[in-house]
Amino acid sequence: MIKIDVSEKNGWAVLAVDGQIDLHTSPDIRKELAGRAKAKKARIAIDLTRVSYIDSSGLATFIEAMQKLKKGGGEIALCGLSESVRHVFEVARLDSIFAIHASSDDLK
Amino acid sequence: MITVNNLVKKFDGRTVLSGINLEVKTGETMVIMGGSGCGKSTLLRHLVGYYRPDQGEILFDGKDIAKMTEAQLDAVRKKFGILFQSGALLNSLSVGENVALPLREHSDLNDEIIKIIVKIKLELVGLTGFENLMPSQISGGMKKRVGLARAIALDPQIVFYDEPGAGLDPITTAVIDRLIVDLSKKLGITSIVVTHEMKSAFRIADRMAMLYEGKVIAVGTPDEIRDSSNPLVQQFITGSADGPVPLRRSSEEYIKSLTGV
Repeated sequence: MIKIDVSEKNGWAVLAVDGQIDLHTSPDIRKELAGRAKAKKARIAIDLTRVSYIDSSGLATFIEAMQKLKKGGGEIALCGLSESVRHVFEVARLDSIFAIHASSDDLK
Repeated sequence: MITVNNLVKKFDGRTVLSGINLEVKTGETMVIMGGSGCGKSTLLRHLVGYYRPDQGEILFDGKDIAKMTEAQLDAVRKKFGILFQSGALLNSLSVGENVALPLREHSDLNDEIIKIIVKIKLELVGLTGFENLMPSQISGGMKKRVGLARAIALDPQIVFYDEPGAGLDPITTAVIDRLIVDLSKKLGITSIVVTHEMKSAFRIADRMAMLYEGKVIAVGTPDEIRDSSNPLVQQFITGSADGPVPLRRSSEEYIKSLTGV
């Protein structure tokens, strides 16, 4: 099970995810992202503070959102990555592709 | 992570595994080695649940996979990745489709997401941009790497390798070995590698187990195995023709099979 809370901060839509992101839960995040990513110049931040595990389907979900956002001139950012979650991004060499912040308070 | 207790398996009355005890710890690379017919492939097939033991138990995270139903086994197997000896790619599918296969089989992920995952996995094995090639258009070493990308498609906790260097030249074998070590360390994967190739075994193992006549006769770090005083172990790692390992299984058995007496 996964919980996604949506809030607004400094012009960003912040999606705070709570739970493990895997084959079963990543489609829920994808659904939440799909509508928002279509909007022109959308700014979406994913807060992963409460995420202890992410698999490749989670990475792919964020990459797809980034592709869609870029088409409309939007942006994506990731916040609050634990060491293990950050490691998954690093292994797939995706840590340099995403804007990564320590916390959603750093969104500008 | 995996504990094997007193595993016994017989085929046609012949004992292939005669009381295997082995522990594989989370995150380690365990190499299972031994000569042809020592039972190492049979042991591997038990570990992944293809064979059921006659006796003993195989505990995966504390649960005995030998007693599981097929449905329970399927759920456990999703945590396993297996690299088969030949790579076992489907020749009618492209490289990308081969890697996508377990994702299509075991998940309801959208096609776009699967395509991205395939790209990530191919990058991990150094084959970015190869997804549209057919298996017949790539070398044996590349096929193994595609097989490895497929084995890790579902982010497994454990990857089993069956003779990863079989049929490859020494340089390609070294490349595959490095990849096994890299993936294990980077992804924190537990690796179980069955091989009879000593160079590879010493290169990749955190610990090694040597099988002989269906029993584990030595377990230890590469240094401990190298320093083993067991003459069977020494003969195997030096590849010597002379020693305690008999060339023929049993002349008695041979004569009996021919003459019936």
